[in-house]
Amino acid sequence: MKLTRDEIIETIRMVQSENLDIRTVTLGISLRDCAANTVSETADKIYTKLVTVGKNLVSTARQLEMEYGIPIINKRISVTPIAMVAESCKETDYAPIAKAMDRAAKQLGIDFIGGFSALVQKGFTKGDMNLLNSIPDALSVTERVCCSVNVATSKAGINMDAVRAMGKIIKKTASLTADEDGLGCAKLVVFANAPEDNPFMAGAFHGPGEPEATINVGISGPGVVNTVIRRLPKEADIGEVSETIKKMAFKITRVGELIGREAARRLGVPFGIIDLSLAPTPAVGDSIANILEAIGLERCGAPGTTATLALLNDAVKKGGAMATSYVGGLSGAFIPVSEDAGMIRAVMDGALSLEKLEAMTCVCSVGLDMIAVPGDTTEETISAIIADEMALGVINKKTTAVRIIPAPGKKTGDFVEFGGLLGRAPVMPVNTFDPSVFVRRGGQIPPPIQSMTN
Amino acid sequence: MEILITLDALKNREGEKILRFPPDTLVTKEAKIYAAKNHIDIYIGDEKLTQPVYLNGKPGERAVISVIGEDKVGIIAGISKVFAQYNINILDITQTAIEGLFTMITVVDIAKSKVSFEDLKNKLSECGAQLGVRVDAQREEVFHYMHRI
Repeated sequence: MKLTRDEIIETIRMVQSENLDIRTVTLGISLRDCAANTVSETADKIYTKLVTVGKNLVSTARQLEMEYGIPIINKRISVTPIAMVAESCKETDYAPIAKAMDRAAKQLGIDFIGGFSALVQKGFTKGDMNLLNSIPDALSVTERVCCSVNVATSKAGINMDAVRAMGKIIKKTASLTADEDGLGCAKLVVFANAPEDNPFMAGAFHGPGEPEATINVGISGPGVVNTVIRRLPKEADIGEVSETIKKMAFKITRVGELIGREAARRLGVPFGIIDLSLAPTPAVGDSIANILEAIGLERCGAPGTTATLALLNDAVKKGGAMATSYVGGLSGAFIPVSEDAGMIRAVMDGALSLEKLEAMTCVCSVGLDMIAVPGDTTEETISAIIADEMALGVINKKTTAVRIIPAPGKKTGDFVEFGGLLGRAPVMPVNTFDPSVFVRRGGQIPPPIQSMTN
Repeated sequence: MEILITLDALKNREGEKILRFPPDTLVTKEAKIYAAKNHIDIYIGDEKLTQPVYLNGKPGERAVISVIGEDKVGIIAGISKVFAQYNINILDITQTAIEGLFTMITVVDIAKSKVSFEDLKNKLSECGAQLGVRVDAQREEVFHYMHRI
């Protein structure tokens, strides 16, 4: 069928003026064959495997960008959770493994490498414990390594010992990276129901059920959706809004599907999934908050925000589901504060609070993401914020996550600056009433009645 | 006895271009994709295993060249000259100049191109820079994927 001129111009405009891009092409690599008796031996094996399997990723992605004219912003690698790979090592400090991953990432020209991770929703093995203990050091001595810990699932409930430990680890990581406003915490995420094939950072890891290697693609495109909604007349019915988003989500996802399949074919690895997510960037207009405002809110965070976000998220899934054969990962709109200019403005104007963000995470992916809080926030309060968010995920059988930065020395109203895709975040106020008795109880929150699906 | 042939079975026999396995052996998706990429033929008994089919097929032989910028004399002439120089055939061409903004969309056949896609793209950009317009070259599939089911 012949293409029309208008279709061609639409595509070109989406790329050139509305920031349409592929957020990430992520190569998942299994490291299960890299286990050894010592950390140094394991680190060597991991480095060698990464630079061998990943050697063509960046050049292939660049080639695709050039040929199809669609920018691919990040090239990433996700690996088997390191807690599993390093379990057999006799040493307890896993930071040298993180360093080897960082070296490999730099050697390959990869933007981020994810998988310094542990799955501890029901308890800890030796490897899990060692990994958790190594997180603050690992994140302070590496640049591109991302770390995630799954502390809850709908089937297992919430490991409150792990939740408590994460509060401490986040504070420690912030203090070790204090000269960069606690940047280490921007690369550390705590999950409930973590997906095994997520291409997005900081939570990407190559799950134990995944093949040897796979290509996963994360799409983007809030700018494109924003533009089409702004073009709708104010009196357009909400069903029209949903229909408009669906159509655009289809188009965005198709581009991801094409790039994903072509990347997989050229690299000789299976194509995994498309993550149907609208991932914002700090660029003006490329914002989820702006879309909600375009639907009809004065500011993101106003009453009606949760409903508009639910509409947006559902329409993106419906449009995207038909455009790709394999949907996976997080698949939902992201609401990271520091990476979204509209969210930042909403916080600064006093429209958007931590509590409203928590409500919003019930209807989208992923959770409290890239939120800066005052440096004197206690570790118990951080643990309790994590516990709340995990409860939302466990009860609603969805992925939720917390990526929170207790910015050392900063107070409400100050700014933290990370630069690049991580952006800048206003420090948000936190409820200061004390949850420490609850947090210190420890133990396991049992799986909810909803988990009994068999 | 190997029931499943996985990627590892292939990697263990690196260097061999023809691999034979007993009848009824199952070959995983990963192994098939690896074999196709590395030009390895797999035989199950006497039967040759077919290569995985890709919905997006082979990279196409057509590209869309778009030119956007301020209207002036000689834009089409300049761009067409590059096509002729590298043996690229124009299949379709449309252009408008509304209120001084010039847009031209050309669909071309690059099957017999004398240069690689990357070189062509660079040459077109250079030519565009001299003419004061923005020239882009993209493979046609991206438009088909986006707008056609």
